[in-house]
Amino acid sequence: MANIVIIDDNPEQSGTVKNNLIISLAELNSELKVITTFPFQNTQDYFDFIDRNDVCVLILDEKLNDQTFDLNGPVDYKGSQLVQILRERLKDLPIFSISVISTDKDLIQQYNQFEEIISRREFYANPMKYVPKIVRAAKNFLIEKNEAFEEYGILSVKISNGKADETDTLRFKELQLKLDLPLVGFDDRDTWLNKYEEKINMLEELKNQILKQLGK
Amino acid sequence: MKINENEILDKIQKLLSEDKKNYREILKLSSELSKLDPNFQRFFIDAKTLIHLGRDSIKDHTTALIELVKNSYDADSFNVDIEISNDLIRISDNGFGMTKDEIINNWLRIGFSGKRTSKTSDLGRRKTGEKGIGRISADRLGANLELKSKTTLDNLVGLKVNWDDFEIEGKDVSDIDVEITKPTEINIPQKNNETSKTGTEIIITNIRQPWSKENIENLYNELSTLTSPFNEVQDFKINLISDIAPEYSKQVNSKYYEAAEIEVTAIFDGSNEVYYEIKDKYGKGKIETIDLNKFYAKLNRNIPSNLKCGPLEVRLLFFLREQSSIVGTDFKLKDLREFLDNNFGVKIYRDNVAVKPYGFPKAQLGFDWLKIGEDKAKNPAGIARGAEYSVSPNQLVGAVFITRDKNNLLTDSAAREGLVESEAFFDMKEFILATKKLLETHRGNIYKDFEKNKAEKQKTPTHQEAIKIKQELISVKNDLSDIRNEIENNYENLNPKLFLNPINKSITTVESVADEVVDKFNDLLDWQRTIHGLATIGISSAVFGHETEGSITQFHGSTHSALRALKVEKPRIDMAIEELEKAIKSSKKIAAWGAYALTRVQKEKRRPKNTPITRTIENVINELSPAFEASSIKIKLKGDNFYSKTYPMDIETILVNLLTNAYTASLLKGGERNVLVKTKKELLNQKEGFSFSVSDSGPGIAKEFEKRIFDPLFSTKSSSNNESKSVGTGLGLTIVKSIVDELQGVITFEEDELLKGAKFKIWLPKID
Repeated sequence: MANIVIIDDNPEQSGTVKNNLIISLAELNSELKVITTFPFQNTQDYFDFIDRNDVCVLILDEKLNDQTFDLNGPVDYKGSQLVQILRERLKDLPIFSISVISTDKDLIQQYNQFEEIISRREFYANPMKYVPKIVRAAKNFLIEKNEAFEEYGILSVKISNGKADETDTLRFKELQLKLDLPLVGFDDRDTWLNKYEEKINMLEELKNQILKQLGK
Repeated sequence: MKINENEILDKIQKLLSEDKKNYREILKLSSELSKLDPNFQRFFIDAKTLIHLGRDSIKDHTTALIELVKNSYDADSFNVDIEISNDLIRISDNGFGMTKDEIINNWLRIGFSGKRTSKTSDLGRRKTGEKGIGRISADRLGANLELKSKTTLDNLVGLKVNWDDFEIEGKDVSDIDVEITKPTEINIPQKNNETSKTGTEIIITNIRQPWSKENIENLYNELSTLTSPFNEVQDFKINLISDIAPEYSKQVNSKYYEAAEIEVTAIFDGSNEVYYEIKDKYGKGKIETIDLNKFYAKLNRNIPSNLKCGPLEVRLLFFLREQSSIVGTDFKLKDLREFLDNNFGVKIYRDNVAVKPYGFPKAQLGFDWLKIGEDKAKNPAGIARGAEYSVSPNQLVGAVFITRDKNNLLTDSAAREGLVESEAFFDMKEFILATKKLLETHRGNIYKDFEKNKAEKQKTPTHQEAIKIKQELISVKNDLSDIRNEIENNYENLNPKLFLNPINKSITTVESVADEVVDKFNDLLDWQRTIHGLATIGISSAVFGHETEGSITQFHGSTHSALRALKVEKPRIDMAIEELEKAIKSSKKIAAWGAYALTRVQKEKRRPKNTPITRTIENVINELSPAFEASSIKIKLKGDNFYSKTYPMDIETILVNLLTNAYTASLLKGGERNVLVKTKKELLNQKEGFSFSVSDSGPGIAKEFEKRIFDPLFSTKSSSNNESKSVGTGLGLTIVKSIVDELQGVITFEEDELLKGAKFKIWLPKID
């Protein structure tokens, strides 16, 4: 089941957003689930987390660096910084910001990286203005993701049968990026073959030099 | 050597069988026996504790004596005689006295106070003490006490105490004998010119501390708080006799009327004329004799057809319970307030004796018989509201004088204490209230004049004041130059008398200029303090504002969410409760922030006073700690509490600014965040003072900024940890430096060895 994930260092705050989402999702007859998590010390851990939890929407607080749940202390980044890291690999995942400081300069600068920046106060006052948008973004993302997986499957077969042309290869690479999959395939084979040929050439060169030394 | 239970029991039985019982030995053995109880044990008290209890509760021998006089007041005495010499102190009263049972069960029971169960005496007096330890204070006066007492129910009874017996180490209170005596005579004051049938006399000998003239004068002044300011009244008179200060050997008369802001006397002649006199502290007043109807019309009150109460004299004294009231008097504000607490209310005196319960503070039925408090509560308008203004009951001390002969319609109630609430009684009430209105109207007029003067005074700009002061000083300089020239040129034929006038004039001018300068400086410093405080609220609000905004939003969100959870088809009670709990938590945070802002610039904090330094700092930390906790900053305070005379507001302003900086700096780093505040008493260059420091775990102060941090408008504060977006005003440290310089203190900063961030240390001298 796909999940909407709220990342917030303030559990009271994320709990209230979660409760509003739960009520709203029930009203919209959506089967999406909501989970909350504290910010991770290591930002790379988010990718694994998103992969494992079938995340369809991320909601970030801006001030992630106030509270802590362990002895390591609060994290040293904010929502507007996290979104930039996530976008390096997750181009299509819908990411929303819900924050008390929705007009903060740092946050506004990253406006393009978010689906929408929502004032926390407005969200609480009228959640049904925003939740349908979140649900819609999640659905679109899931549909696109399924379609992309299907297309990816077809192209994989084509490439393995050696029937893929240049357009197929390019599309295959696009899908790997979109689905956040490891970049494997032709690229690696070409690289390996090139290196293999380089080594053969080096050996050929060596052989010629030895023969020359021997005066043959 | 330990003895066993059987041995003790044998001994007790033997003692009990003796004809002449040794009670003390029986008690001692019983006490030993009770210590063998395997299941329960009891506290027992060292005799010395008793003495310490008295000594610790009483600050000096004057207070100790006052405590004994208060007991006389509470015993409904009409007269108290106090005799003080350096051999003997005698306090005797004509109160209700004590029976032998009362002496044994009440007087000898430490901590017993009848005042705890009944706050007022039979005469309706508000009892003055409740701890039940006033009598131990007699130890401060002298080593030996002899008490004699007489009631209507019992013979003359007494006891003798030697307080030195309690000083012996290791003795239990019950080991000390207090001798019960059967006195043959008692010397108590007369009551209504007749020998009193009841009363108590205490004689203290072996005096511990000699009494000086000043002590007697202080005692006289303190005793006067217990007596009525209307000296003709007879309900509680204190007669002081002392050969140490013969000028105070007299009846103690209250001088507190001197501190009254306004005094009004209104006399109704019984037919149709009213004479009234208004006096105030500012030399304004009025005397008039007018027709009764005009008197009422003047005050916009309903005009009665005729007053049935008979002739009356109403005297009302109005007091401000503040420092300005005691300027020019010998009293302390504390004494004035105590006097008002003992005497406020309007009492009725018939033939100069109080008619209870009218006007006795806290007397159940008569305390607010004129409903002054009720009116004030219904309409709490201040003086600025003109005609709506009414005085507060605790500012008014009043008396209505009547006589049995001339006010025969004001009769005693048969059913209970007091007067029959007849038409005559209501007429009297109405006349008193009309007099009160007269007072209120006059106060309104003074206030208007006062405000007008204030407004006119404020119109003078500071630079004009400075020019005026300069001109006055130049005139003094010229006068003095003339005198010098005269002396130089006419040395031989000098007539010193000729110089007296110009010298006197110069002295007067210098005195007046000095006063003006001091006033102006104080005004400016007070103003500066307020501005610093307000600026600090602004600075801290900008920084901690996020936390408050967060709490407000959370409160709003949680209440909305709780409502939503209850409104859905299948209400989510658990969710609603969870949200309401969060709403309550947030509301507390919002309230705490409000309280923080409101208490920053309180007037009393702008005056120098002996301040508990660490505790003051702790209070500020407690107020700000929710914001620190919300950002995972651990804030710790180290240092024992100590007192130093200083301006509390300055300490708070400095601290809030330093904490605001520490908060911002700590946020610049992830991981563990700490702020440490330390306080200690510290001598600097042989000067007494104290220091406090604030350290944080932030990145510290960059070398390139060190020289500029105290510059106005320079700020390193950024809300972001990787961008230079400034949220600082650049005023915090400038304010801190300005206060420290003003107080002739020292401010230093360095890297904190432990936390690795910045450490600011402030040293301030004790204000003399």
